[in-house]
Amino acid sequence: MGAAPQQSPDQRTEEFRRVFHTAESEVSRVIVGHGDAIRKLLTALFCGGHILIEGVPGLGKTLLVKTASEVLGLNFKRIQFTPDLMPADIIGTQVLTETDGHREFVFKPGPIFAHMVLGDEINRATPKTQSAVLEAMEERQVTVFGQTYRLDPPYIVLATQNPIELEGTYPLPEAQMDRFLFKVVIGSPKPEELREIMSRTTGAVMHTVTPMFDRATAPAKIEQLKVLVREVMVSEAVERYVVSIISACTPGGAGALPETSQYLRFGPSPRGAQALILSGKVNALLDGRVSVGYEDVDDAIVPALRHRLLRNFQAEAENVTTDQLLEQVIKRLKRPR
Amino acid sequence: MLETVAYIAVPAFLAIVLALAMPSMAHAIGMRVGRFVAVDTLSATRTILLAATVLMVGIGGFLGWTAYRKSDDYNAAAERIDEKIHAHEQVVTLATLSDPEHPKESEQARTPLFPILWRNVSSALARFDPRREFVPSFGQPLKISSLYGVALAIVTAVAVMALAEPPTPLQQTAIDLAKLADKLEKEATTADDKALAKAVRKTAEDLANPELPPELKQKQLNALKQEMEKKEPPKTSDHNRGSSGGGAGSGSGKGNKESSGASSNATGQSKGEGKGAGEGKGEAQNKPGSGSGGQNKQGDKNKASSVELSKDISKAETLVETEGNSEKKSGNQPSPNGSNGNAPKPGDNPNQLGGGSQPDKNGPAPIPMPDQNANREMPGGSASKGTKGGSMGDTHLGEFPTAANYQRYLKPGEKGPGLDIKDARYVTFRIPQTVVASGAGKLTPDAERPGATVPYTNAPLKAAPDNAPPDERQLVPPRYRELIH
Repeated sequence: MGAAPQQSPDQRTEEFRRVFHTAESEVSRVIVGHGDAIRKLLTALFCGGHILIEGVPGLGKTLLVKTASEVLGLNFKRIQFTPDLMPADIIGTQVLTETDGHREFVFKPGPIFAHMVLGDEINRATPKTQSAVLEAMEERQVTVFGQTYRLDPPYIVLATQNPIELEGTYPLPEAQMDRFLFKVVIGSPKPEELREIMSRTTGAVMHTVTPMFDRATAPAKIEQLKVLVREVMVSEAVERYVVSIISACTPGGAGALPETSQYLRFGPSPRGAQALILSGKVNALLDGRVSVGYEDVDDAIVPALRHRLLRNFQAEAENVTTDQLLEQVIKRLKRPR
Repeated sequence: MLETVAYIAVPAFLAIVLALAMPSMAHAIGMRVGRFVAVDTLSATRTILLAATVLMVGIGGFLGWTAYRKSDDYNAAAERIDEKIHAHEQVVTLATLSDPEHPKESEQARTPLFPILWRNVSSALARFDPRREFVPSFGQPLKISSLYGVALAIVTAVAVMALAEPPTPLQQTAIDLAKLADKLEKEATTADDKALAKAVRKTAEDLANPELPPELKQKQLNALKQEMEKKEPPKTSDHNRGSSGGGAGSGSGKGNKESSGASSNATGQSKGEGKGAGEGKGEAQNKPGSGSGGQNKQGDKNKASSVELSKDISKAETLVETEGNSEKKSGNQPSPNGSNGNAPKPGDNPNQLGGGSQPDKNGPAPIPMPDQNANREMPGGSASKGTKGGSMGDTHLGEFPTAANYQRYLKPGEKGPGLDIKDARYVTFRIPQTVVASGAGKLTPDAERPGATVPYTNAPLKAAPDNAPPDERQLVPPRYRELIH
């Protein structure tokens, strides 16, 4: 943080772009395809949000997160969620230890104490365990036996969900879904990408990544860049535009579209608007601007809102997805002029 | 703002033009197509068009005002500039952060990155030329406006055609006159002929114009007649020509009473219309006759046209007179439903279905009335209309009493003054009670005042026997007709 005042605004914005693009290209050296997922992961990191990744097993979700943490020089922990996983297994617990004949309870932090936490198949854990992650995600702190422990910034939770094998799973409650900045859907690789994956992972030469920062300074560097994102300016017109998007997605609201009123039970919360503005700021910085434009917001509408819309029975019966509804919103929404 | 207003320019202008030109257009179309729009319909259509114009002007004004307000707004202007120079909302952001109306709040919202924004916007605006960027382009608005205009014109045309009615007899005559004018113009050889054709056309147009009063139409017809008479040579030469070309012509041409200018009628009663079979026959039977006819071929043509013209004029005169009468009637007794119905006339049979006063040639003969002959002598020519005389006291069902057997009040041989009262329902006579003279005058007895010359008595009439036949017959009310045999 101390280096920030010494840099001019131009240098800071330039550095942001450099870090972002370098991290993107470094991760892409290991991960084939999934360019959008990589970009959203880095965007969420610089926005200070969390990300929910949905995709079938074997698509490289864990590798993606692990690679990103390596590139950025951040701590990485992985939690495999299972039905018998207990909250203490995640956040840690008091352990009785004996030192010089003196016994005392010492807090042993769980895997949630890391910069980047991968919660694999989060919907397999019980709601009790899932809710243990809630406080950590939102408050950046955990409380064990009345003692609160802060999580070191930067802190990002990357949860994965398996859309198949839903038997015996516990779908994430809406409250928890709302805490994720983006929901990224990872699809199957294209044939040429699959060929590239095969050649990279089955050959003698293993691709490695070069960390951009050393582990000691990385968190501070990233925090500086997060501050820069917050400094990007937003006009009233763009704010009104974001409000109109949220209104259009809120069934029964003043500006609701007929489709949303027909197929949705609930619309996005104010967190949805925050997600749009923050991701718009990152997009603006990447474009060399320091103010958010309409296009910057448009780019984030689907990943930032798709998991915040709650479909009704009719939508499920007619197999209308939230992505389809959001595409309609983008198509029909008029920008303020 | 001007661009916004341009969107309604064409339809508004077109609506005004259509509203103003509608009578002439409807008249011209009527003369050619043979379907006319009623005056009421025409004025209603014009009113609608003018109302539409006012509405469009109002909408255009509102949109223009809104556009002006928007362009006058600080942030809205910034948005317009942003859009023009594709600055990705940098200009509007700068405007938000330097709002002169809220300087403090704007300054607080600035971040350390504000200088970059300022610089970016400055460099973008350096390339910005308002005169070049905001050149009003009327192409698109006028294109859309023209589409609206075309739609309006189509709707108006369809509406007018749908509301158009078949021509009235007078309008039909006007059409015939117009056709005749075309014919005359085609056949015209002299300037006089052309002038006549022009006058005929003008008269035809005036006759078809429902807004012109009948008096004016009558004047036009009279003027045309005079012009025709001027043009026509004296009738005696016509007769001579007719007789010279005549001879053995049998006069069967077209079955017309007035036929055979070139044939027939050595008596010289021909009116110069001969054509068709009559003419041919004359030629075949009498060679000298045919020679004469050949020389006058052009003259015959003209004669035929002028006869046709005079017939049309006569017809038009009758129709104009009828129109004038009906207008008077409708002016005196407006029909409750607004239609130009004929007022019941004295002697009309109220029970007759349709065409009240027209005697039905195929129907049963009228019931003879005891005083029928007397009624026929009614002054004012009412007898000539074929009325049955008085109503005989049957005043119900719209039939009202008419003067019957009033001659009893007249001196022998006196027919009484001609009462020129037509179609009056009631006539009130006010007899002055006293003779009022101003101070300067003097009372002079009227020696010529008709006085009673036949002795009379106030003795009561001799009582008539009960079995004596009634003096008058009453009409049997329709509701009893089936009961009495």
